[in-house]
Amino acid sequence: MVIAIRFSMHVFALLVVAASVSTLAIADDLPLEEFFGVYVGVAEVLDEKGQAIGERHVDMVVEPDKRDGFKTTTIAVTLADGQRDKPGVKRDVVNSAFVFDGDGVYLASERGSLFSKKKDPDLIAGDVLRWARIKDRTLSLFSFVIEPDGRYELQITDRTLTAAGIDLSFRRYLDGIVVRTVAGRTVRVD
Amino acid sequence: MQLAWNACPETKLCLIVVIERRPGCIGMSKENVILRMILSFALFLVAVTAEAQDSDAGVAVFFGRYSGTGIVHSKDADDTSMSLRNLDVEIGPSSSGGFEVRWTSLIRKFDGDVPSYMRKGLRVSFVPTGRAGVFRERSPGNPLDGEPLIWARHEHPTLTVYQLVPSKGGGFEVLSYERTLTEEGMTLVFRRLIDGVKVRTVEGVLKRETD
Repeated sequence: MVIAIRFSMHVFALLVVAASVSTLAIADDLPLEEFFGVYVGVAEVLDEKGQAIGERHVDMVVEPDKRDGFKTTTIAVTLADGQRDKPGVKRDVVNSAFVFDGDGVYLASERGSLFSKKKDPDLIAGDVLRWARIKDRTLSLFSFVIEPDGRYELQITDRTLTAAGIDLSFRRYLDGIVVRTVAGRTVRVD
Repeated sequence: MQLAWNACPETKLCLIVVIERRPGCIGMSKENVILRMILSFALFLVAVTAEAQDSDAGVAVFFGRYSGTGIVHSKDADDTSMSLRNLDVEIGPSSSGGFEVRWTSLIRKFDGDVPSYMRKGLRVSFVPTGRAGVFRERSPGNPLDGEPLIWARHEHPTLTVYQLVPSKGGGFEVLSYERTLTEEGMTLVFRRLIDGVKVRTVEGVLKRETD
């Protein structure tokens, strides 16, 4: 009787370990909520040769939105001669909103109003296709468009969660060639 | 009442229409001015349309059969490898208007001294879009439904075919086949990007077999 119980305990332990391993494998991609927050930091702009051509201060918010989605607001201040208070300073604000579309994919929500008919973007006509996904610890935003001359432009923004905040990586491709890179680090402030 | 118009060669009209000055005639009537403006605009439209048609008709210089060899540069997850491919391309008119591209590649890989072979190919019909030099597949797919989107671009002497192929979980591939005419045939540069990372390049030279 005692031997039978010990054997069962071993089997039970093995089953618990197996379940834990399989759970870990499924939970490789971070949940969206882990990325919500307010972040500030700096980024460097590189040209197609990898040469630094500018510095930016970054202020970013990632927050929940309707239909299990999210929205982001990114304010980038491009410094002039390394300073914020000189003529030539530029400030860009980019807002994006995405809704969950299933299979780990988020699509840009660009419906203007409740009464406007939602239609899929027509890439051949020049519409922009925007989507996002999470892989491992990185939330990636993609933008794809076919230019009027038939070449394609691809933009990828990776936001990788770190212990302190988010690491940023932006690449812009033209016909498969990287023409602009921005890389930076931010810390979570809220 | 006559509208006085200085019809000297300095006016813009003279760029397109030669205005003859008859002795004693210092101006043109209002009706003649309007007529010449309409004629100028019509000639401008003809020039723009001809340029667009030229671009579409220019694809015909690619018609023919080509064969050759390509060198593959692959960057897999762990290593970089090279292999050879036999390339065959046929470009010709399509029954639905536009043109058709058919290509196959025989991939040779070597495991030590033992070769293995794999054949890949595709056949696509293209029709013009509203954009000069840009063509779409006759029945285009919708990437949001998981279908590949294929289009082509002609900027002489290069005809490029693109494929946007979505994959599960928001991933994607972009394939491009850049074919440039040469005296003897064409060169090919193939690029494959997966999620923005270049994983394969093929560079090949093909000879024209037939027109």
